[in-house]
Amino acid sequence: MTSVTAARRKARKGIFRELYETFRDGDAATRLSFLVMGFGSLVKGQVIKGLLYLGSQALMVWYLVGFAWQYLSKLDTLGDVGMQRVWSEERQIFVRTPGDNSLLILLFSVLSIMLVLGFLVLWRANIRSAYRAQRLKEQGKPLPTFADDITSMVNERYHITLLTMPTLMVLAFTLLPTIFMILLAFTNFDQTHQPPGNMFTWVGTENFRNLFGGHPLIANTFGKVLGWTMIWAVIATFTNYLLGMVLAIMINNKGIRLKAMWRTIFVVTIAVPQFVSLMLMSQILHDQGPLNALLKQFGFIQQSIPFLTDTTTARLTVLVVNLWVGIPYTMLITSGILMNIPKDLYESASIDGASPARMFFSITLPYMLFVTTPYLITAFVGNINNFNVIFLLTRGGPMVTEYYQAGKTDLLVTWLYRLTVDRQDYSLASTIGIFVFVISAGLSLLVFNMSGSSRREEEFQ
Amino acid sequence: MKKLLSLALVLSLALTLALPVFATEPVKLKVWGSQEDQAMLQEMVDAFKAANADKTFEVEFGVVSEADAKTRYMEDPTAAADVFAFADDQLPAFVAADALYEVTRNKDEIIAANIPSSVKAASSGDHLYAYPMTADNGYFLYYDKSVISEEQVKTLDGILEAAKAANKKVFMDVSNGWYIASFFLGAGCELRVDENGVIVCDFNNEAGVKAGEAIKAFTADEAFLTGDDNILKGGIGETIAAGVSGAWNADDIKSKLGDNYAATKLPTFTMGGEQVQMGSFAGFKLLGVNTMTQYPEEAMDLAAWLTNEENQLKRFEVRGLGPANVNVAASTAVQDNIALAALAAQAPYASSQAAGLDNYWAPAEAFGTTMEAKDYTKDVKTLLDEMVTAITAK
Amino acid sequence: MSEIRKPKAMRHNLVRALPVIAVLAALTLLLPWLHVPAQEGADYARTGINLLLFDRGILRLIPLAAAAVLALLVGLSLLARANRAGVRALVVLFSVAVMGSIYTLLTAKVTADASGLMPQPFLVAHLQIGFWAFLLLSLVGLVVALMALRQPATYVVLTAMGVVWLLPILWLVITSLRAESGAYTTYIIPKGWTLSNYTRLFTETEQFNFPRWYLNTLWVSVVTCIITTTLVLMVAYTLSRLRFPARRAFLNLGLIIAMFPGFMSMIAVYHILKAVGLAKSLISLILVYSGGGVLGYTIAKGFFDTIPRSLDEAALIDGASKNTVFWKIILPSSRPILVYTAITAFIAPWVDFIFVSVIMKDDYANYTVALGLFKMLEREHIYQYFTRFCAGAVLVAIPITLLFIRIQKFYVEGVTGGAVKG
Repeated sequence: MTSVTAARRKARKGIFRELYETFRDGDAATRLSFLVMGFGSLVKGQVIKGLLYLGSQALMVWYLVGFAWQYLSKLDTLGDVGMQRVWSEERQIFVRTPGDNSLLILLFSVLSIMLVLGFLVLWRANIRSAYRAQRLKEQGKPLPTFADDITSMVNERYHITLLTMPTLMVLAFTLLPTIFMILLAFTNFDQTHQPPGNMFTWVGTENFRNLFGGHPLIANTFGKVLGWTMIWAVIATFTNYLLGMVLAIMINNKGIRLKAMWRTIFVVTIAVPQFVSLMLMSQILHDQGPLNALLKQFGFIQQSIPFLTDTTTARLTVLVVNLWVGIPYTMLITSGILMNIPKDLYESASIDGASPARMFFSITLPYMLFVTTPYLITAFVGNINNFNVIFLLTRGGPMVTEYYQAGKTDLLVTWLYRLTVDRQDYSLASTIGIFVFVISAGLSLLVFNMSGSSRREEEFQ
Repeated sequence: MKKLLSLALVLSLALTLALPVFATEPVKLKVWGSQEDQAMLQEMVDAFKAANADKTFEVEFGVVSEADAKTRYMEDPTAAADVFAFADDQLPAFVAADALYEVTRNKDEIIAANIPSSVKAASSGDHLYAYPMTADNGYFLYYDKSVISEEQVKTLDGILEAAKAANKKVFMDVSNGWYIASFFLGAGCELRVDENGVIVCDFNNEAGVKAGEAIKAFTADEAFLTGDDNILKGGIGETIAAGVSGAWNADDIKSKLGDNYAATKLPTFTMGGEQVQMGSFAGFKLLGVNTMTQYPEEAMDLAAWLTNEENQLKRFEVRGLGPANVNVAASTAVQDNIALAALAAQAPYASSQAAGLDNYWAPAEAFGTTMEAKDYTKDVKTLLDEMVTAITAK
Repeated sequence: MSEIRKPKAMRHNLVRALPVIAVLAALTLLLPWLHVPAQEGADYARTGINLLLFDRGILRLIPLAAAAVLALLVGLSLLARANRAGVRALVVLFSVAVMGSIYTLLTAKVTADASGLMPQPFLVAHLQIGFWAFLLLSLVGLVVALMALRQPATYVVLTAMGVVWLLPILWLVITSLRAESGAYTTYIIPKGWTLSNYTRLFTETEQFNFPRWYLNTLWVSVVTCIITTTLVLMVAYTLSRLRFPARRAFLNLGLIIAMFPGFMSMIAVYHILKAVGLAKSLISLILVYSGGGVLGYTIAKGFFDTIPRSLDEAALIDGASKNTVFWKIILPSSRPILVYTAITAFIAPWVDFIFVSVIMKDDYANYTVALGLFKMLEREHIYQYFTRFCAGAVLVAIPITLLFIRIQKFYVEGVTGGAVKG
């Protein structure tokens, strides 16, 4: 991690030095390109390129003045004029005029800042291009034509061609919203500060302080819910992993016939959309549901088993149902890898007279753990964020009096879902979201960059 | 004839001049109502269009139940309906969010036409913010006449005994703050919002703890059954002998019970050796006009139309909903309705649904859930203390 | 199976298995397996056989009796001469015995409850130890017989697991055929059967317009599938084959960016879409699913990593552009990952109900099936719509199941190996 930031810092220093040197060594046209984009290219005959640069600059100015400024100028307070109401004697109503919308101010400010950053990259490219054209001309070499530029897009700059569209989509639909939500954690956006009727504003780190002790009830709930989230993620991941692998081994066993049929049986349960099967499960396991009714009718039990309404049983139930949901998936994933385990390992072991259990623990498991560590981490992170299983089965319940708007099976994600949907407590939810993000992202980055697999990436090819 | 024609001409000219917008383009409005109301709303709106033929209306409908209105509205007020139905406990939240257009057109008529308590529920201070639509947002007891006698139904103990004798259950959704409050309110506890918007709740005082013990005893009874409305609707007449619910289920329950269909006020319960009448929440369903609407006058007129005497009567006839309109409520048909009569019988013991209780629901549900799960690791007093702390927090 | 077994070993195994059969056969005949408590006032207790006889429940036991006789016959014939066919027959026999005892339990319940001869409903407590012994021994017998065949006994475990995994699905199908409405029923077998849940999905469309939702979903998923597949292949190829300055940053960002709880960012996405006038439209759904789907490039990248580099290097030396390499070399050898990516992208719109609800809000006409079905289960609808929900779920599950059966091949072939290797 540190080396990455260091490299980036170095690169940034480089950018400024490069800009300075370009300005120092550039001719008038190149220097003017600092102000009027595409000027250098236009002067030197690269008309299409120059016009494109110029056009993008015009577009940007138009966007900033015509649209972005009304939001950017209010970013510091997130709006200061509320909704107006004026009595109209003629119409016999209060005429309403909308005021500032803090939500839109924040959102479009972030969007505009991102666009400006993107524009700066373009601006730098324009300067570089102008300088390159200048140097080429000084050396008497021919300038690349627009056609040459296009050709380079499918060769040395092919990555730009391929990545532009996907990157834009990710920026718009993932990165921008994420930054927006992270910023919400520093505001007081909640039920009483809900735009457009009301405005919210910056409150610094108040939400973080509340979460870590400033508000005893919330802090206590956060600690407990975080604890259960971690316990859940660890148990859910490992039980799924081990049992899924055992199932895969059973099906892949040489002697088993109709392998495809067995696999299909389990695949059917992943193919039924998860929300359907989980809603069914919550019906089946309900206090008054068919499973309890059957058990009672046959006399196995007298009272309904509170599968989903008692703390301990509910926690067990979600873990077990998660197995039902997850095992087939693990089975599919591990099947392929299991077949790749070198056969000679097993042969020599069986000559030594090792039992199947021993072979599993001394050959299969270590091999699988070694190969699938990244997958395990993905699964672990997935379980920290396992919204469906908890939300559809228990909705986080059973609720308890000692928690703030949370229940005993609530994970951080389901808790923050409740906070946003039922309570519109967006700022607190975002704060929790940041925390979930830090745990998940930290873990993933650590494992992917530390584990051998990413370093050995080149070796596979 | 000529005179009339020219008058019409002048009038229409004046209209076109005064309201050029309305003459050229249609008034687009969106109405939110619950699933069951959709067909009825369509008819009402058709009648509205016919009655206001001078303008073109394009009315769109969205299915959002009264209970969900606030949540759905808050997701994006500008995309919400122009006219929407909601339960009166959401009013303060809507007012705080500046979501409701104050009712200023025909205000006096609306106040005069509806029962005072419903007008109060639709107001904040002296300002009327919504149109009373129904007055049945409360609960009472449905029971199976063949299992429980009129005498037994007066006390909770009697009901439980009769149900047990028939090997049946007594249903109440205790893990729901709305219903569980009936014990505490019956015990004389207080739950309200003070002038600063802070919840005042003393469910953990001496009387409250006794009520809590009564809940504990009730939920521990072998005839006790919990769940949501769907459990009651599915089981009454078969495995369930009696259940607490509201008028919106009257039709389903009536069809299940047939001749044995009966309803009455909530029973008394044993609290520290004495019989105490259960309290309840009573509320109203209201129609509000969104402050974000493009057409405030038309939206208000539509809201007023949808809640006028004729349409409140229609609501009662089609869906069995209790009217807030004075005249409709006084009609014999309404008076004879078993479910609404039960609601009226409960009314003296009902508190108007204290509004602005957002912090109340989750902790109350938590207490009920703990009782239902028969988790007695903490005593009732401790649980109630925790509950009240959570309710009054923030 | 290729090994040839020695008859001696075979016989040895049978010797272990046969006593079990004998015990079983005997137990089957010890039919007073049910103890019926005395009725109030009556001075005798009925035995199970007696009860079943009186109430003609014995008819229900004919299959079991047949199985018992068969067991006896086969057991006797095996005593004389043991061969593999015989042991195989044993396996079948024991399986039948296990299923038979479960069947008997259910029969007893139905018969005893219907007879009215017992003072209270039939309970498992009324079963005598003989029943449990029979069940247990049949299971043991099955395992022993399988081992005698040198067949893994895991068949028993697999079958048991298969039943647990399939029962809820079976219940879904059964409920979709239930005539009476209602949720949280206390019984499993419907009181009446009907196909109307399916037909009503397509005829009663005023509120819940299922056919329209189905078409919406189909349209969204087809377009999403095309866009996502294209984008994913582009990204995966770039990150696998091309080297450029920000590559490591891209890899890391792609890894973590999707980890912020999704539905919270959806609020922002909704407002962005609304600002460009796309809120509540199917196009916005396509954009959102494609935008999210792009981040699933890891598996494809892993797959490309395994295609030998020498192939494209040779082409580059021959003067091909990188573009040509992508189309002419990489893509043709990527059919498995192409199909895998496409199917995964196709399925996403069928199963998501959160994102689509944030985007569509109250616009029922533009819902997808997943959200529509989810709506049917809301508290005010579930009582009326639960059976129709099940019917709809079956209709959604069928195409997805077929697609999944197709991709499982790629999973097993190790297409996903790339993902786990990083």
